[in-house]
Amino acid sequence: MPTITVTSLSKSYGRVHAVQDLSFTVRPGRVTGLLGPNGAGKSTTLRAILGLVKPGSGAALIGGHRYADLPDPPRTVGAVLEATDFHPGRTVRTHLRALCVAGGLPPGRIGRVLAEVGLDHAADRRAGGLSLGMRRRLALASALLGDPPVLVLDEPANGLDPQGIHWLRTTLRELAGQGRTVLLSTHLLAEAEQGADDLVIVDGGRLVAAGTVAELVGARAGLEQAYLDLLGEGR
Amino acid sequence: MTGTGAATRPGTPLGRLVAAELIKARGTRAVWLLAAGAVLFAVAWAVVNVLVLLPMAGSGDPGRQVRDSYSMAQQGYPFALLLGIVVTAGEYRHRTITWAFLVTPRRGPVLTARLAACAVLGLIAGGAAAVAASAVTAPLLHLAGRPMTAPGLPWVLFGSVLGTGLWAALGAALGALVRSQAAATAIAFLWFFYAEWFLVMLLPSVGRWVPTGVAKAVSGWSRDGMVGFDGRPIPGALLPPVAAGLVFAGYVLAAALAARLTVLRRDVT
Repeated sequence: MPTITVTSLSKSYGRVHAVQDLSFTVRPGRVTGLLGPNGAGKSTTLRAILGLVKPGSGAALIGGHRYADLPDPPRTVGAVLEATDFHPGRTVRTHLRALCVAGGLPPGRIGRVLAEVGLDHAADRRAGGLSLGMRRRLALASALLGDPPVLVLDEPANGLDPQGIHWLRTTLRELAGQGRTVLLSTHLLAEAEQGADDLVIVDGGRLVAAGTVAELVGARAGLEQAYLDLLGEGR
Repeated sequence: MTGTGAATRPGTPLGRLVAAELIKARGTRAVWLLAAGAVLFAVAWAVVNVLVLLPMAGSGDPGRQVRDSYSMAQQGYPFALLLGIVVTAGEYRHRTITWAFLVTPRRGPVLTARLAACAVLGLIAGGAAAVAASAVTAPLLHLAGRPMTAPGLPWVLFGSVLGTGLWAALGAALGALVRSQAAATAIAFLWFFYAEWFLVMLLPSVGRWVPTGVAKAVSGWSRDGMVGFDGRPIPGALLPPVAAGLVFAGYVLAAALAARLTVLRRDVT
């Protein structure tokens, strides 16, 4: 299973330094959380990994390759970005079918991934009529179409109700348990503490700390205290 | 699940991308509405041409008048242009472009496939418009006591269909270049309904080279390229159909290349 390696990654938008000299590794078989406050550079980092944003310097590689150089992207990486990235007039099935055809994936995958995310009853509904939670599930179904060994998810729990968050956490744990490499960004401490094995904490585009949840918490009362201490706000 | 990737489906990468674009277009109501608009507009122009414009034109070369009547099939071009804009700029509007670039990170083929898909959609709409407009034109010409056919008619219809396909591809290229659906629509509206007309009024010899002029020439239109403020054709003969088709395709390619070299390289944030 591929490893995600981010090395000295920097990215600026004009005078705003979104990511600065960021380095970390995401290992297979584990859920790694990219944790930080809003504006910490999490989404930019994920988009650089996915080839959507061109790094100013440094590299973001998947299995040693830039995303654009992957021989078969949909079978290598599944990504979940915004929950609103669907054409409101297209049905769930049409959206997935177009991805299948473009990626050269067998159409039989559509039924399987819809069943996996619990959306099989909504296959013929238009995306514009789906709830936020259902869109999150559709996004995950889209990511799983190619049965990829790597998953990259940007704030996947945003907008989900408690049952949805529980479902997501369980699903991602199962996927990592199958040996996949799972990287998710979040600013929710509870999600990071309960859903991730490893954490990469960023702030202001820079690496603050990285390690297992247990290592980062150490002797402190919990991740919240550790997080605030690491960001220098715990005093 | 195994995490080792799903089985491969046969097909060339570009062919698969075109097929995917057509699936998306088929599942988008706006595309259907615009295609229907192209057909209805062509039919409306066919009716107006035989009942109003031909009597106003008076006597002339009958074969030329018949060919011009059938070339009304391409009059739905504004809808074809909009269709292309909606397909490409709509991807940015709804942010579905992210999915496209995740599946195919090499952005050039995505744009190529989108242009090809829009050309196909334009050809289909143009074909339907040609059939529908001809079905109206023939009996109306007969009722008006005019000949129903003329030499070179198949080429007129072929050119009308081809022209509609090229209009859709031009819309797709424009949408890719501008990215904003509203801005691309506004630019197209201002250019084709005002700027181009004003330009040709000032410099009549330019009329054969502007997109509307070459599009009319592709469809075998035998009148002059543009109609002036007084409703009369502005002097300046159109290009031969084949040359016009090549110039039109050149406009599409130039817009697409500009999009590829500029907009398509930008970050998707």
